[in-house]
Amino acid sequence: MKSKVKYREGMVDKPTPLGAAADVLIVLFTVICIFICVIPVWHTFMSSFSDGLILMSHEGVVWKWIGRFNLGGYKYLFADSSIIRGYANTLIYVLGNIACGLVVNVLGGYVLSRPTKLKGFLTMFLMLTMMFSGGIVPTYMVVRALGMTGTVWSLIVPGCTNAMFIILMMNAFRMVPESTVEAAHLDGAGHITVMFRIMLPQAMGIGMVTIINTAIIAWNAWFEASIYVTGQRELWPLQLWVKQIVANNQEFLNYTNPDYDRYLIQYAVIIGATMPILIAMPFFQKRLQKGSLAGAIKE
Amino acid sequence: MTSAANVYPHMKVHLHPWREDFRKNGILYLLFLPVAVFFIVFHYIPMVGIFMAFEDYSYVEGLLGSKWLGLQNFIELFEGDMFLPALRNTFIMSLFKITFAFIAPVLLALVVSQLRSKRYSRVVQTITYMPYFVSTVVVCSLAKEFLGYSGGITRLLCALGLEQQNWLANNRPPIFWVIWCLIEIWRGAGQGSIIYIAAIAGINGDLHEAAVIDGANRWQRVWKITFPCILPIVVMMFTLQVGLAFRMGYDSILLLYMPSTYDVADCLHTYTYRMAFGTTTNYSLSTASGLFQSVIATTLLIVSNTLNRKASSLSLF
Repeated sequence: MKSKVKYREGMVDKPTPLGAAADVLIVLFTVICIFICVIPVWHTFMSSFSDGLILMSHEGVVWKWIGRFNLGGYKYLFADSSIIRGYANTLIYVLGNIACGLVVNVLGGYVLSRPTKLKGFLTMFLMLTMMFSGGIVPTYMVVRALGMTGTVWSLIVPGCTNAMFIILMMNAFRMVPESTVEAAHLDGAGHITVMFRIMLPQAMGIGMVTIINTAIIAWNAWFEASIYVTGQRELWPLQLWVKQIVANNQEFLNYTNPDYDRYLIQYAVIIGATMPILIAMPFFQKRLQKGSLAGAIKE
Repeated sequence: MTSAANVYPHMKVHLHPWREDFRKNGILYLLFLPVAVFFIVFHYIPMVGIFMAFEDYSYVEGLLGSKWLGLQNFIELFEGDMFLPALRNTFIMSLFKITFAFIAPVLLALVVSQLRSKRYSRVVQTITYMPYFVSTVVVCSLAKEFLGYSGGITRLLCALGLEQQNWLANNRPPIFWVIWCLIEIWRGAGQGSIIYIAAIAGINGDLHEAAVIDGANRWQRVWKITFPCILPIVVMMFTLQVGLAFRMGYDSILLLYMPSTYDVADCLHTYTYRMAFGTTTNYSLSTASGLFQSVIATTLLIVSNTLNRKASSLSLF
């Protein structure tokens, strides 16, 4: 047993010069990987505190803010009421998708986890939607026919879940010991009580995986908004504003006396749209790793 | 539990099994109703909408009233000078995705598993996982920033003797594909490596110990023990990737390409998008292109799933 522990610490190998060289190479490789992952975000972070005019003519990566330390970009960002509106909208969409998705996932997962005669058919009914899709145009037509385009609902209801999440939830419910369900039924609990109060708390590990994935998808979504609420700028989520601002950021130069802090807004908005999810990431990571390996694949 | 059949077992004989099932599980089916409505409305009705691909669709006439054209839209699609390049680009980029972008996480997992310090290995895992959480819009903005005329990567390539330019505007063949593939790797490698790292951590330590006693060095152990042990999962993930290669990760192209790079960057997804929501709208042609893409994607998924079932007894369906 002791030797096993030692192996895992990497102590079984005899220290040889070649082995040491390999270790150095491996560490070097991972350091480069870390570097590549962090630098783009770091560059943007530092650029957002730089001096706009000097930054515009700067070439290459910004390692440390250029010129004087400057919060002008963030001032522009938070003075812009449409950005604040974008934040609020994104928040509404994230919460709406989670709520809507959770209801559908739990209902679907629960029913599929029960031994009914139609179980196979219903599973196939869901699976088919993973194999074949009508494509964006027919989906757009349906959403438009329902009168959802141009409203909040187009960004909450259609994309709130998919068959994969329901199957995941079904697997989670199946892992709940049947005895607890039977005991609850004997005590007179109905399906709703069993579903939400007995089974859901026990299946919440995987339930969290679907919730977190829904939240990430909703936070990062831009495509749906760009086709469903194109004209309604007051409904744009944050990501669409990021796209818009980054694309049109040179326009301010057309003014006679441009304020170069205006240039920083594209960096500030990227940081503003990315930081919340990166801060939440360690919390997400722990739960995703725990849950996603458990129920992802059906045997 | 309280249904008639349980209380009076002899009654089972008289009840039809389906009727018995509905008696017992009727409420369950009722609970499934919202789920069924959701999938019918947002997934099955759009499938019916595919008929638009076979007619001269007009919004006023509706799906049933529009003129039936048969395969004419598909002929028009194939004859259009933008379609074949788009098809070629889709295939090439899918190929890049299931080769380079697939190998990267496996390599990363193997390297991370060789790190001596567990704490450092966790740091590497967390940081390489991070780009997965960054949104497509931001990833593409960063790519534009770094590959632009005065961007960081452009500077680096200049130092290596290449011409200074906006790399995303370059329409010579492999450049856009390589950029897109590298972006996919940047976003996905850390996330993809998690499953392999978990598999490597699950390998029985005795195997390594025995190999060490027999005199195997580290390199040999990686290729003779670690790699074969995770191979079933690698095969499974590969077939899964083949199945999904035609579906995901293409919205980034909408943000990265520009008219001057349509030759190399345009793919079926972006073509479909432009046909429907671009300056010239042609819903029928767009649906035809979308249907074409869907059929290939579904074929790939079914083929890969069949292979998967043969190879590993695990399957998506």
